[in-house]
Amino acid sequence: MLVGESGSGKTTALRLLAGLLMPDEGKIELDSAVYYHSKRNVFVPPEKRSVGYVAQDYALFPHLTALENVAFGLRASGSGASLARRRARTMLERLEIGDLAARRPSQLSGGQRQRAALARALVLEPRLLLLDEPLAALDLSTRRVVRAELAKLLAALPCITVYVTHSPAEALVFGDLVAVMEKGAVRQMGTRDDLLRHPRSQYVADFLGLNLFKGRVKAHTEDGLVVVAAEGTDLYLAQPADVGEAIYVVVDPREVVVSTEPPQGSARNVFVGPVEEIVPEPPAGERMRVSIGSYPPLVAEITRGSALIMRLEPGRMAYASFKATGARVFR
Amino acid sequence: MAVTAAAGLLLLLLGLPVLSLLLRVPSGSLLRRLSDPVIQDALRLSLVTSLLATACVVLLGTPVAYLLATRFFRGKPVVETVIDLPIVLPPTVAGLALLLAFGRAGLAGKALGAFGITLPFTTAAVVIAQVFMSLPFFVSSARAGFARVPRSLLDAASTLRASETYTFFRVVLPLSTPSLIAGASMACARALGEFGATITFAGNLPGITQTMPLAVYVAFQTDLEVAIALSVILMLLSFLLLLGLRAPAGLAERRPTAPRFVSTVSR
Repeated sequence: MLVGESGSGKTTALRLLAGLLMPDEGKIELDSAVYYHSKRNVFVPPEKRSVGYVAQDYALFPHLTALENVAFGLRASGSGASLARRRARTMLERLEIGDLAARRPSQLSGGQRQRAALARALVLEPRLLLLDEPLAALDLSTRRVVRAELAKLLAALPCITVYVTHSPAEALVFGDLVAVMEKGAVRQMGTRDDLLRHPRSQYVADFLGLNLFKGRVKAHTEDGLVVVAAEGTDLYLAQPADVGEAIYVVVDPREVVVSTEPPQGSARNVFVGPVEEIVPEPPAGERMRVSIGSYPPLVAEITRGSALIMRLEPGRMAYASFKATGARVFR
Repeated sequence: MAVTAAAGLLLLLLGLPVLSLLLRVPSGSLLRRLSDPVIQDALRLSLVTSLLATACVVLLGTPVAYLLATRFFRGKPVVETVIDLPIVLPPTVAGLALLLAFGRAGLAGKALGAFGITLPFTTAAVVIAQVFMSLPFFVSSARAGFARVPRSLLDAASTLRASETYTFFRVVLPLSTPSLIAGASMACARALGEFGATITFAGNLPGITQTMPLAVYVAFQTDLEVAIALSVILMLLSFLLLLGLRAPAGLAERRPTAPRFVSTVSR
């Protein structure tokens, strides 16, 4: 999982791995194969690498059907027409879009296009699969559905997957190993807990600074909310989920309201604890990031003005609350 | 208002000569004129040579256009200029240059002569003159078509283990077909109308090198009726070629907008 802001070099990193760009120096190895070695003057071109690459816009061939798109790589590497078509069809069926084989990319929805592009890369059985923002080209409502399906699919793949995203939530929920990129370099690489609990730099702390809880759906309330048991407490959410389901709950710091009195509003999730840290949020510093040592700990982002009015300072007790609608659910 | 006036004036300037030509055709005589052996020879020669020339242009021009669209090399601007030169060069100058190159005493002509091949004043010379004059029209259209194939598709093809040749035939060529057809029609129309280079390099021998435009010029001095009949035929051929050229270009313009429109709506 490669995560970073736009311009941090994520796509460049993928293109280097795919062989679409030539590095200035260093080396690229996959298992025992050397793909690039500046000192030994080795550069293996993309078509000779066991690497699948799914671009952000999927780059399906517009003049070919889904089936022909998937068969393309097999045909290019010398498979006979009928064998290639058969294998392409099997792969499309595995990704549950077998019935769309005869359609052109323009006749497919965003989610279907993504699957066709995945099928096209996977049918060549690459050792390494590169995904560049696979959800970016989808609209919000499809993204939610596709994300869950994609997670399931990727978990079942035999190859190594490098997944690029600009969304910290997506990276933390999806990735076994997350690398945070900034200005062309990996700032920190580690597991989810590593990064969230022990960020090694202010940048990583700020960038990943979101509230993430792992939990299990316990019950539904009478007013239609979902109760999630997470980190020793109960969270109330408005998103639909089934009882028993294991989910991640992500709360954006901007959704968290801080107050020094018990909150009067409709927020269903209220926590109390001492203020641990207040740091101005880049770039202008008009917003402040407040860490509250509640149980579980929460991070909030508030304006400088309200921090001043409440006279927030480290050690002062504060309430952190968020609405049932203020949380996102990842599966 | 001024724009409408300018457009009207322009239309008059272009349309009036065409209309005058059509009005001067004596009714019923056009078909009779078609059986005139001079006209038939010129018509057949014109069709055969321009089609041959177009075929040569496509075969030679496609690789060149692809290289120009995808490669950077030293001296590229010079190569581009040489290819574009015939567009602005007076055709008689081009004909003279061809004569100096392939004529009996020419640079390549001497070598060819050693094999017993003489080019000037043969039908082959007509084709060469036409190729020379029409190549830039095809190359620029084909090159633009190749350059429009999205980089991301070429990248995708190479990560799908396709060689450049395979990608060219399976991705680049199909996607730039409308541009290639447009360029070929343009080149064919240019070859059909070729006059100056042909008469200088290939001469004006009826049945061998006298194409339609040359026949018009000769007839103009002897029999105006024949000249008009030939001109109308030539004009209709050119008109149909250019009209045919509009059709695929129009399709290519319309095709991408439709799905884009749909996707913005669904969003």
